[in-house]
This record gives sequence, C-alpha cells and structure tokens, in this order.
Amino acid sequence: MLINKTQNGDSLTIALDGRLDTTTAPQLDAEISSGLEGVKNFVIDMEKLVYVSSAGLRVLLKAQKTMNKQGSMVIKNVCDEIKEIFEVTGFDELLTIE
Amino acid sequence: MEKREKTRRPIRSKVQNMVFVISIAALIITSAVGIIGMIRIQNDSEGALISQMEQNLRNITTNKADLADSELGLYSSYVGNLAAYISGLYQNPSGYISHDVPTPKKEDKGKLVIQRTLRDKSVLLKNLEEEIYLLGNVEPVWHNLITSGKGLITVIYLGTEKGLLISYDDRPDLSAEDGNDVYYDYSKSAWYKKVKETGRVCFTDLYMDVYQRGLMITCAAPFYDADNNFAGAVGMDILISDLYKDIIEVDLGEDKGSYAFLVDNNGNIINNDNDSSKQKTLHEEQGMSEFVASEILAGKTGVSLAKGKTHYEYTPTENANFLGGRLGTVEDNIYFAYTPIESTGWKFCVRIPENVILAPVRSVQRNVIFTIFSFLAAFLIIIVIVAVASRKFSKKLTDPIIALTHDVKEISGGNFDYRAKIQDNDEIGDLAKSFNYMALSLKDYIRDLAAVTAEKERIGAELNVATQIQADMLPRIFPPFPDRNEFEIYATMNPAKEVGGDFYDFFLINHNHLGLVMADVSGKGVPAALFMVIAKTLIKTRALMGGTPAEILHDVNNQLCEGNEAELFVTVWLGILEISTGNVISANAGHEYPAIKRADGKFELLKTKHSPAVATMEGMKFREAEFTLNRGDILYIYTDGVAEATNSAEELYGTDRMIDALNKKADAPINEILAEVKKDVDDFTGDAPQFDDITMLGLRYYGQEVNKMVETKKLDIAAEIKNLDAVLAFVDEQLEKYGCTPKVQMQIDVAVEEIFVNIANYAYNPEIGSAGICVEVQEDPLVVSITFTDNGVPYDPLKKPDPDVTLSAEERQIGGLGIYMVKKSMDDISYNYKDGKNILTIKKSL
Repeated sequence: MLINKTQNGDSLTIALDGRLDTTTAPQLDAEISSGLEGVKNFVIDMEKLVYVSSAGLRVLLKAQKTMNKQGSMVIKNVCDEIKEIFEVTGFDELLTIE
Repeated sequence: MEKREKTRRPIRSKVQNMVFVISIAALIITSAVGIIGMIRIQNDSEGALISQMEQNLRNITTNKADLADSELGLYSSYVGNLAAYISGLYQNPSGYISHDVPTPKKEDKGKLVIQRTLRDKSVLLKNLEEEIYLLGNVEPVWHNLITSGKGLITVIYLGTEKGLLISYDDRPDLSAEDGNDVYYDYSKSAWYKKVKETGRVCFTDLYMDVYQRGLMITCAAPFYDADNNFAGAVGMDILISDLYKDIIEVDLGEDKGSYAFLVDNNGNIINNDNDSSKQKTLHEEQGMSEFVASEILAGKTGVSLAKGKTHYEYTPTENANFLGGRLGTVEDNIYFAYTPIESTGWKFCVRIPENVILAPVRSVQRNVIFTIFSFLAAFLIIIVIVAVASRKFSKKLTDPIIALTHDVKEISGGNFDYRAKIQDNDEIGDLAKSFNYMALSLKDYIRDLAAVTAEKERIGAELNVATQIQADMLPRIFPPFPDRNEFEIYATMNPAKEVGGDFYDFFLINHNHLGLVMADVSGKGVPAALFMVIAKTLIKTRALMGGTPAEILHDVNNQLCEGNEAELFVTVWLGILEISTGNVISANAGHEYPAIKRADGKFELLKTKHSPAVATMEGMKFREAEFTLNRGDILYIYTDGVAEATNSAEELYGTDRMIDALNKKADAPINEILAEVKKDVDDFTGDAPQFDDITMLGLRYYGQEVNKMVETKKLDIAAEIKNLDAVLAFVDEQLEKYGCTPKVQMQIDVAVEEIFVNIANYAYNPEIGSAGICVEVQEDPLVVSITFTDNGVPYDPLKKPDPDVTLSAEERQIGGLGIYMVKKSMDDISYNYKDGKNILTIKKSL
C-alpha cells in the first residue's frame, strides 16, 4: 500500500493506494501516530484504496478517536465495496464520510 | 345460535294476553254497537219529535183561529142584523112610530138608556128631528141585544152622515151636560171611517176600555137610506178579554218562552195590559226573524223556524249523575206557528223555543252520554277484573308446568331417584308420569352402561398397548440412516381405529440396496393388525435374503397362504432401489399406483402393471416393473386410505386431489410434503370419521455425493501473518475462473484474512504451527466452501458475542470486529472440533 501525505499548515491529507489489511495497517498506524500532532483538519483520501479489513478499521477508529480530541477527520472518495464494509460494521456512523 | 336472542315469552303471559285481548275486543264491539244504536235512536226521535210538534202547532193555530172566527163572526152577524134593521127603517119610515132620543142625563147613570150626541155645533137639531125619531126605533132591538149579551156588549151606537150619533148604554152621566145637546165628532173615529171606506162589516183593533173593564173591540157595519146611499154606520163595543184569554191560552207546557199571541193589523202584538210601554211590534218579539215576520204579516198559515244566535250555556242535568250537568252549545232557535183570523185580519201566533221541543231529545242525549260514561266505567272495571282473572287462570295453568320443570331439572341434574310430584289427571300429569318413567329407564340404562363402559375401557387400554406395539414395529426415527445422504426418506401412518391393517417399511438390504414396502391388509382392527405383523415380518425377512421383488412376494405369498383360515389378504407395493444408480425394481400386488415427481416436473401417477394381492392364492407369480430415479426425483407411495378418504357428502378424495396436494409443496422436505397431503385430506373429509388407515411414504433421491463437487484444492501453510498474501493469492486463484463480482471477491478476501489472521495470532501462540486451507467449489448452484483447519488450542470464534456497532468511537472495543464481518458477509459459517483439530468452514454463493 502506498501512503501519500500532504501537509498544509494544520491540515493533513493522506491518500491511500492499494489494500489496507493486516499487513499494511501498521504502516498507516505509524504514519498517524507520528503525524497527527498539531493537525486540526485530517483528510483520508481513499480514491485508490480497494480493500479494507478489520485491521484497517482498527487504525481508522484509532485515528478518529485522536482527531475527536483535536480537530476533525474526513474520509473521501470511498468505493462502494468499502462503503458496505463501513455500513456493516457501523463505521459509517463513526466516521465522517464524504 | 341466532345472533339476536328472541325475547322469552312464557306461556303464562301468552294465555294472559290472549284472554285479555279477546275480552277487550268483545267489550269494544258490544259497546260500539250499543252506542251507535243509541245515537241513531236519538237522531230518529229528534226528527219525529219535530214533525209531531209541527203537526200539533198547525192544529192548535187553526183551531184557535177557527174559535176566534166563530166567536167574532157571531158579533159581526149581530152588527150585520142591526145594520139591516136600520136600513129597513130608512126604506120604510112610515112603518114605524116616532121614537125620541133624548140627550144624555146624569140621573140615568146605571140605567140602560138611549141618548143622542151631535157631531158638532154645525149640525142643527131641527134638521135631524126626522132622523132622530126614525132611528129611535132601534132601542128595543138594542136593549134585547145588550141584555142578552152576557155583559160583553157594553154599548151599541150608530152614527149618520147627517151628524147624528145615537148610543145605548148605562153611563149617560159621563157625557151629560145638564140636558143640553153634547157633541162628539165620531166621523173621525176608526170604526166609522173604516166602515164608510169598506162598506162592509168591520172590526176595529183592540183597545183598552176607558172604564178599565178590559180589552175592547168595536164591530161596525154600514146602513143605507132609501136611495141605497151610505147613510151611516152602526157599531157595538164588545169586551173580549175572555175571548182573548180563550184564544191565547194554549197549553204549551211550563216553559216561559212558550206562549201564544195575537198580532193586529198594524203589526202590533195585542197585549192584555194597560201599560203602553209594554206594547211591542211583531218585529220586536224575541227570537223573531225577518222572514217569519213577513210570512206572518202576509197572512200565511204555517210553522217556521227562526234561527237564533248560538251561545254556551251550562245546563244542570235533571238526572243526578256524577257530572252534575253539562256545558254545551245552545241555539236560540224558535219555532213560530201562525195563521190569520179571517174576521179581524189578526194573526194568531204560537212561539215555542226549539229547546223546549227537543227537551225530550236532549234528555235522551244526556242519557246517551251518561250511558257512554257508564260503559267506559264498566269497561275499566271489566278490564281490571279480566286482568286479574286471566292472571289467576294462567297462573293456575302454568304453575304445574313450573313445578314439573323444577322436578325435571332435579332429574336431569343426575338425581334419578327423584320423582316428579305432579298428580294432576291431565296432560301435565301424563308428562310427569312420562318423566318419572324416563328417570327409571335412565337409571337402569346408566347402570348397564357403566358395566359396558368398564369392559370397553379394559379392552381400550389393551388396544392402546397393541397400537403402541404396532407403531413400534414401523421405523419411526427420521432420518433413519443419518450417514446416507443419497436419499431423503419420510413415512407416516394414521390408523383409523386403535390398531390398523396398513404398514410401511424400509430397510437397507445391503450397502447399495434399499427396500421400500407399502402394504394394506384386508379388513381392520385386531385381526388385520395381527396379519400385518406376520406379513411385515415375512416380507422384510425374505427381502433381506436377496432376490427380486417378484421372487420375494412369491415366497411371502406361499407362506401367508398356509393356514390362512381367516381368508385375509394383503396388497403390497414392494420396491428395491439401487442407491448408486437410482434404478428401482418394483412389484405391485394389488396396490395403489405410486406417484413420481421428476426433478424438473410435477407429481404424476406411475402406472405399472398389477398383480393380484398377496395371500389370495398359493403359487402365484408376480410381475415386476423397472424405473429409474434421477437426482431430485421423488417417489411417493401410499395406501387406499388416502385416495378413498370420504367426506360427509360421500365424495371420494381421489388421486387427482392427492396429486394436487403433493405438488403444493413439492420442493419442501419430504416430511412437509406428507404433512401437506394429510392436512389436505383432513380438510376434505372435515367432520366425517376416518374410515381407513392413512399411510404414506416419500423418498427423494439425490444419488451419490461425489458428483456434487466440482473442484477441491488444498493449501497447507505456516500460520504466520506474513503468509497472508500467499493465502489470499491461493484462494483468489481458485475463484478466478468463476468471475466473482468485486464485492463478493472482497467479502471472501476479508473473511479469509480475518480467519487466517486469527489462527496466526492465537492458535499456536507463541509457537508457529501449520494451517490448512481447503477451497471447494460446488456447482448448481455455484457455492464456494473454504475450510480452515489447525491443530492449535480449541477455540470456537462463533461463540464470541457480536460487538455493538451502534456505539460511538470512544465506546467501541477494538476486538471481535473481524469475525463479525465474516458472519455478516458469508452465507454460512460453521465450527467443529474433531480429532484435535479446529475446523471452521465458510460458504458463499458465487
């Protein structure tokens, strides 16, 4: 999975490309753990993400919990398959999906 | 039950009402007839009274008029004679001696004397001397007349054209003037003028005598001189008070309004009273109408009714009744009867108020009203009496029934020693005796019944045991061969009586052959059941020894025919299914046609050739028929209890309805198909009792499992996270050619990842063990099964509770999400721990 970060002041955009699964989730976890300090507007662009498993969901939940304390988090460009996973697991209510 | 319960109407109230209604109707009719009759009589009597009254009045008036005419006619003839006598004097003066007529003198008071009076001073006595001496000759004639006149003729006099008045009376003192001549202009008097004008005998109107002796009338007549010229008039004054009284005194009863009166020529009512204020004209008569007055004055004779005003009046009744009187309308109608009196031109009238005439009718009217009220009073009293009497009568009628009802309730309550006590010698008494007899019979019957029932219960209990034994003989545990998935089988039997003659059976003859039996023993109950036990045992035992259905039945037939004294027989359908091929060899010994449903079709009867029933004749050969069951086909066999079920209208259920019922749920499990048929039969027969055992068996053939799996691939790999991509690649490779949608592909990937990661993380922790991933694809329908096997610690992920997906981010637990996603996205997930292995299988339709 490729992670493409764009920092602009207190706004951070992370674009994901590929599969967010048990193997790749730790990469995103690492990025978020280190990179969210001082960020107020966090955007995850999923335009090129094709797969999410529960490991990925855990990282998203963790990020959401962090951003709930310091700003806002938005998920963009979710494909239908992943959107359904969000719906089944109730994540569509937790996350802000545009 | 009727929706609206009828109002209860006891016999008692019916009888009461009937008596009451009849009585009232009779009363009303008789009262009506009586009252109508009375009213008619009243009307008739009114008419009769009036016409009788009119006749009476006519008679009275004409009689009175005749009386007056005859009385007055006497006087007129007197005067006529006097006039003729005087005329005779003029015509023959020489035949008479001179007779002086002196002036009136006071000393002659009280003596009847003749005296003279001159008309006025212009008349010279010397011119009259000849006439005085001639006319003086009247004195003896007049004297005779007055003295014979009973005092009624008070004075007679004559007046001449020449101015001489000669009078004859006993009161010369009233006009005497010391012997000198007195004057009085008589020519202006009514009697003189009238006679001179008419030239006939005339009566004057009545007037009151100046000496108060009573009513007077003057009757006068003309006399003539020798040349037959009018010479003067002679008149007499007559006291007619008595005559007047005679005329107007008419017996008209005591009513003050009923009286007779005379009307003079001036239209005045003649009054016997001196007081002129009481004088009145005919028009002033009370109750007189214009018409009647004009009739009277025109001199007609008749009876007329003058209509008066109507007013209300309270009339006390004569007969003392409870009303004391009546207030009603009173019309002041007056009947007037009248006729003229020829001699005077007067009119005699009788006045009677209509009320007086109709008084008897009014009395009848009052009596009618009184009678009507009396009727009403009697009516009310009779109503009360009838009500009380009918109540008592109906009570007397129903009391025994009520008492009997009470007694019968006691008996029907179970007290059969109780006896109805009614002793009346009538229908109710008979009924009571019948009930008593019934109680006696019931008691005997129930005693007998108790004995019979006890015996029946004993037999029933034994039969129940027999039923249980019979049921136990039939295979009743389903599925009977749990490890055989080549077919699905189900069977039921519903006996008509406690023990039946039907049976089914199925048994594995060897690994590849299944025996199917459906049979029906002739007859029912215990004998049929016993025969069935033998037949069933023989068929199964013989079949297990091998051979075709025809051979089996041949042998069984021979066995059953031995010593079959009861002449029972059994129809049998016997089939042997070759499980591996679906081929069936069957023999039908007098049994119903089986029904077959092909996988893609509907149920229909399979008409194979028949043989006679088993146990009918020794040594018989049985025919065989062969057919093949393919995957999904269903074989249905049954007894005649299904096809020949009968409803209350005696209609047969028939195989057509059976086929329809089978087709209703043809794709359901076999037990549901059979249940549907049974339900349909029950619905059809309704309340009609079940005559025959209903026995059915169904078999769905699948064939051997091996044909199902299209492809199986297995991967054994170390359970490590790093191998996840290899596992996913292996799974995706197997599914590639089936062209899954991206969604299904991702769901399967996620499921595989979650399960594999679980095994990697927890199964061998901290060591590393192996995991097996087996992918099986099955076609028609296309389903993929993925089985994960590991030798790690036993762990059933399905037991983990589902996370609450409605919680907020802060409340969310991290764990449990993966297996929850698997459950949600897969069609089936199952866990098994066997031989030290965790086996988890997921299935998903592609």
